[in-house]
Amino acid sequence: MKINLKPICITLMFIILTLFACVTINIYFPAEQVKSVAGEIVDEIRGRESEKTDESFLKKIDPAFFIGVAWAQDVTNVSNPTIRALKERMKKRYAQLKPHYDNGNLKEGDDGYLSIAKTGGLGLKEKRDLTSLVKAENDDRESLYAEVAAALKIDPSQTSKVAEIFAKEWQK
Amino acid sequence: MVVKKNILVYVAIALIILITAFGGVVAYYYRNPGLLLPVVQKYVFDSTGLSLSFEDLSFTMNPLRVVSSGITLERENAPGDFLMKIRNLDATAAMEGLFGQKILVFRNFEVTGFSILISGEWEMPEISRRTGRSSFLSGIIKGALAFFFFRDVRLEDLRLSEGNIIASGDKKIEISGIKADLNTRHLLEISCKALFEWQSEGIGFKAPQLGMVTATAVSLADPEIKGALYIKDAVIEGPCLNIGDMDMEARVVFNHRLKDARFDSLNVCFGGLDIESRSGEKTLIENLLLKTTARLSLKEERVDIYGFSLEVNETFNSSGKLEARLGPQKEITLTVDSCVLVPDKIINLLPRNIRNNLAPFTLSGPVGLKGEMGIREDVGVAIRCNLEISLDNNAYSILYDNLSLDGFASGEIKAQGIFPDIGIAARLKTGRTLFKGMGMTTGPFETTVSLYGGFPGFEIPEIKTHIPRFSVSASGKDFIVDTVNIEARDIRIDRVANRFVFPEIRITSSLIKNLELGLELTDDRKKIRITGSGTDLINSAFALNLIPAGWEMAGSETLEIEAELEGKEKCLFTALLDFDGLKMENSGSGFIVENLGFKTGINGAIDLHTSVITAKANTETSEGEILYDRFYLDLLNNPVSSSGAFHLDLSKHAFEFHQLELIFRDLFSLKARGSLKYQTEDKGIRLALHLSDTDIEPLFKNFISEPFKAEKPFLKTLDIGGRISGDIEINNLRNQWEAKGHLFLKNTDIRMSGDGYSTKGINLDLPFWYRAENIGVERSLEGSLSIETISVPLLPEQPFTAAIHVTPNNVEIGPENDLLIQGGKIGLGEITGTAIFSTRPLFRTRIELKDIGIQPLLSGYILRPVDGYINGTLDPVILNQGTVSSKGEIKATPFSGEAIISNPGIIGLWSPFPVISFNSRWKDLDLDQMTSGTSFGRIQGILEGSLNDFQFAYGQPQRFDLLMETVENKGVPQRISVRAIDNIAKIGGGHTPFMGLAGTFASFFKEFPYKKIGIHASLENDVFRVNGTMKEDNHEYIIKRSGFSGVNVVNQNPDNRISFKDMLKRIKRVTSSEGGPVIR
Repeated sequence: MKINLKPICITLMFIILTLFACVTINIYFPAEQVKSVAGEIVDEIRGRESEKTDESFLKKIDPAFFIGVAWAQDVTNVSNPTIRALKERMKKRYAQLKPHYDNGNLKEGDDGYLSIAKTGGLGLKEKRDLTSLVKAENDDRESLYAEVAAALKIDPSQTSKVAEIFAKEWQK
Repeated sequence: MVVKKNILVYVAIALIILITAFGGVVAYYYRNPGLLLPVVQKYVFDSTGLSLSFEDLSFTMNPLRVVSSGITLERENAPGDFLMKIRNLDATAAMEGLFGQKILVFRNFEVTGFSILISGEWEMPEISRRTGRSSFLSGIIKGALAFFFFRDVRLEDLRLSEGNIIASGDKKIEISGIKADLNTRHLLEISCKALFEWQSEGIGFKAPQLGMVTATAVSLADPEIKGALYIKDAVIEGPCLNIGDMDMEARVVFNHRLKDARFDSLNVCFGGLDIESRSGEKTLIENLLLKTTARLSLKEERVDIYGFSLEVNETFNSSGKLEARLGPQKEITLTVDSCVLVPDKIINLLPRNIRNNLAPFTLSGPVGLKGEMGIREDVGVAIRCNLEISLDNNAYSILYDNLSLDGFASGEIKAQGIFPDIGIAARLKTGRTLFKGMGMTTGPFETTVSLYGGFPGFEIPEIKTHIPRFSVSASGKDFIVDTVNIEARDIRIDRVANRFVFPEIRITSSLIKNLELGLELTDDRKKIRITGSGTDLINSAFALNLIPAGWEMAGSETLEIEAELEGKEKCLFTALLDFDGLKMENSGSGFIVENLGFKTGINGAIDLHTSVITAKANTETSEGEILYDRFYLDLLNNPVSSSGAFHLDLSKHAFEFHQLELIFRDLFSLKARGSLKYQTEDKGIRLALHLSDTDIEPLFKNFISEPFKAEKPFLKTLDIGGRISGDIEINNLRNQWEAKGHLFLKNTDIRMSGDGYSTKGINLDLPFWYRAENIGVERSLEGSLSIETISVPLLPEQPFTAAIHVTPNNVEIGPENDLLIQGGKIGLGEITGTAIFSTRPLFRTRIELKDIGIQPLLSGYILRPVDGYINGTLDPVILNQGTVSSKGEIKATPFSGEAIISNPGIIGLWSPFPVISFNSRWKDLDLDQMTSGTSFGRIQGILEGSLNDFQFAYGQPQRFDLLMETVENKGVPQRISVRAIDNIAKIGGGHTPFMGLAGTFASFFKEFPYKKIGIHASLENDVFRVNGTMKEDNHEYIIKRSGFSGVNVVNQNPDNRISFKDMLKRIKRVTSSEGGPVIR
């Protein structure tokens, strides 16, 4: 009796391929860390008092009693000169954007970017300036998100998620 | 009294003598009747000019009978003109009655075979009659004859047979087979065949049966004949009219004395009425029936038709009367009491050319007609009429090409006057009208129109049309227009001059409003004028979806358009459009216009034969603002105007424009010419633009600095002055785009305030060449760059020149001189750019540094002198997507050693914060030279190491991996000052190591020997890591002492991370500290 092995082989190959295909690739994304960084950055740009108090009473007095601790100070800041420069620019720009926020001319999108909600009452020149400001702000935000993602070793393809987390801070 | 008696006696005697003599003469001829023949012949000749002869003549007196044959009556001097022959005549007569009242009674009167031949202008011989009243004597003679012979003649039996009457000539008459019988009841029956031909006019009449039967006895004394007249199967032929199968019957009463004929119950039936037009087209009217009562008075020369009724099948039905006076003043009056005609059937009876002309128009249903028409011949011929036509919901339709108009019409049309001055007055109302065509369909609408005038001039005081709704289809879309009102006033029509004038046609609707049209049409002039103010063009454009979705527009406009047809092939036109307060905004607010006021005008001509339009157009703004993306223009300060001419050939699908000039006042002006070919095999676009010599400063400010200052703040620091101009040619052939040209800068200065960057005297001829597809390279475009002075920090002021070569999408810039820098030179190789118009342009060059002194470069940062030079070559240096990368090394020789920088580059060149990166390694650096005299503290020894992944941004290091180690070298002592140890420890650990016992111990020394100093530092994400490179016995040494002397500096925290802020503080402390370490 002759057994045709061809269908069996094909079935086995299909099962093996299916098993391999079911492997899920997880990309690391530190959402909480991004959220924390976003809160700090946005607060700094907008001049808000940070709610986070990371200096405990013990840390305030430790130089007096625990000299060696200074050697091992844990640093978790997400920052570099580019991020600092971006923050400086955005901070200065925020002063120009603030009246437009107050007038409801601007809208913080869920994508982490700024858009013009309405321009009623503005002259064309003011509209032009506002458009320029929004464009510059969004360019800087795009750079900021990329730098933050890079600092946190987040895959560049996940930058939009960083932006979305920032969006919640911008919208506060 | 006696005299009177004598007169009576004499008269009586004379009468007796006369009577006696007359009686004698009569008695003589009675006894000798043969002598009467010459008397009769003479009498006939004298009366008619005809000679009478007999072949045979015999008569008897008792009974009185005449028998004759071969009787001939002819014109003696022209025998062929008139000839009458009677073959046989047999007449028997008798005198009846009392003497003095006798009647000659023909018992028998028989004529067999008689003929009358007339030729030439066949006028019947006239019997000469004396005019005026009879003389007294002739009266006596007539009375005597009647007294002695007979007073009357009566026929008792008459038989005529084989009679023919022929009149030849242009007007030919043949009456043949004449037969007449007078029966015993004295009723006369006549029958014959009749033929009439008028050859020159082509008119003929044939009646095979024509006859009359009298109803009463025929008497010569009684002039009235009553009878029935009939014609059967008659045919009338004419040049444009053929009547066949015509029957007529009527009761006739003819009074010979009064010359009056009355026709009662006159019925004429035309079996077929064949009308032939000049073009040969025939129209057949069947079953035309005329019933009437008529009177013909030859004496009064008039015809009266009473109460006629004329019917043509179901096409035409009329009744009325007709009066015709045929005397010297001819007058015919036709009165139509009622007439009903069916136009759509009547039209079939009209000639084809008229039918064709009327073909687009049809009218159904009965149309009423009544009134009076008359023709009067006085000095001339006058035709008068007073008619009234009435329509009552008659369906009508007009079809022309693909246009159709259907509806119902009611109203009256009156015509009154004397031709040609017939006055017309009409008032019509149409309803339930539907229009379809040109992509438009209306719902039912109404129109009222009134018309007055007379040919050729008519006036229409008013036409009003109300269309509740109509839809327009265009490009597959349907548009609805509601409440359309059209009012036309004071329309004047002159049909002779063929002139139609519509001075005022007002149109309003839910879309277009307040539109006024004027129209003048003549044979040699056709002119239309369209004006409007506040016509709501913008809303109309919205409603018709002519404006893209999401756009907002508002504004008021005034328009004025005139077009005039010159001849038959040329149309001249002018158009003016004036917008005021125009607002416009697209969906993304990327394009906004506010309060724009502009006027645009166009005038030109259309050649209707060749379909060519030539025109000139100009536009000028007066106020307003325009914002496109970030480009803003205040038109009050910088008004825009344009002018140009264009040529559009619709048949060749070609569009050309030239002399087009676009002027942005106080900014720049563009001149353009170009052509466009579409829907042809060689379709394409050619456009040439010329930017006139322009001051560059306002251009830079309006179109670069202001729009982008928020994104590129450095633009605010730039001052630019000079002149700019340019030329560009844009072509699209076979869907391949190409653009090439030159941009020129003349005497342009660029200065960046604050930083000392400036260039002066820039003269640039920058060619550019874009081509969608690289298909071969022809010649290159040549350009040049020359800068009189470049002022950049670290560089001496110097000129710079370069040659520029451009091929499609590529550029080559060949610097013609090196840049001088601090005694050395920077040599730039040829800069090549490829795909420069793509999203991934690539630039490549080569940089060579030649003998550049280190000291001048560092003089601003290090006070003490540093010897050495910098040399090296970077090849290639590539700029791609904002990243500059290079291959090669730059070698510097500071501090008696060697430092090599490799692969320098810049990341994000166009970003606000570009990052400089490079790798570096060094060796044989003399630490003593480096540290002697510095606040850091002296260190002796030889240093080597590397700096990898170095990134520098925003004036600060952003990332690096630093390794520094000393190496032993013969003859070079390795010692380190206490201060340096203190500073290294401070930087590495944040605190001085010289505290407590260590501080006490160190206070005895200024320096210590060391075996090795090794530091590994890195920076990433604003976090420093500082470690020692030597690890022994679970200790990590930064400084390892030499033998038993010296100091070990141990890093007690292997995970030594320091924030950027802390590091700055530490470095600040170190660099600001002038004293020695603090010993605690």
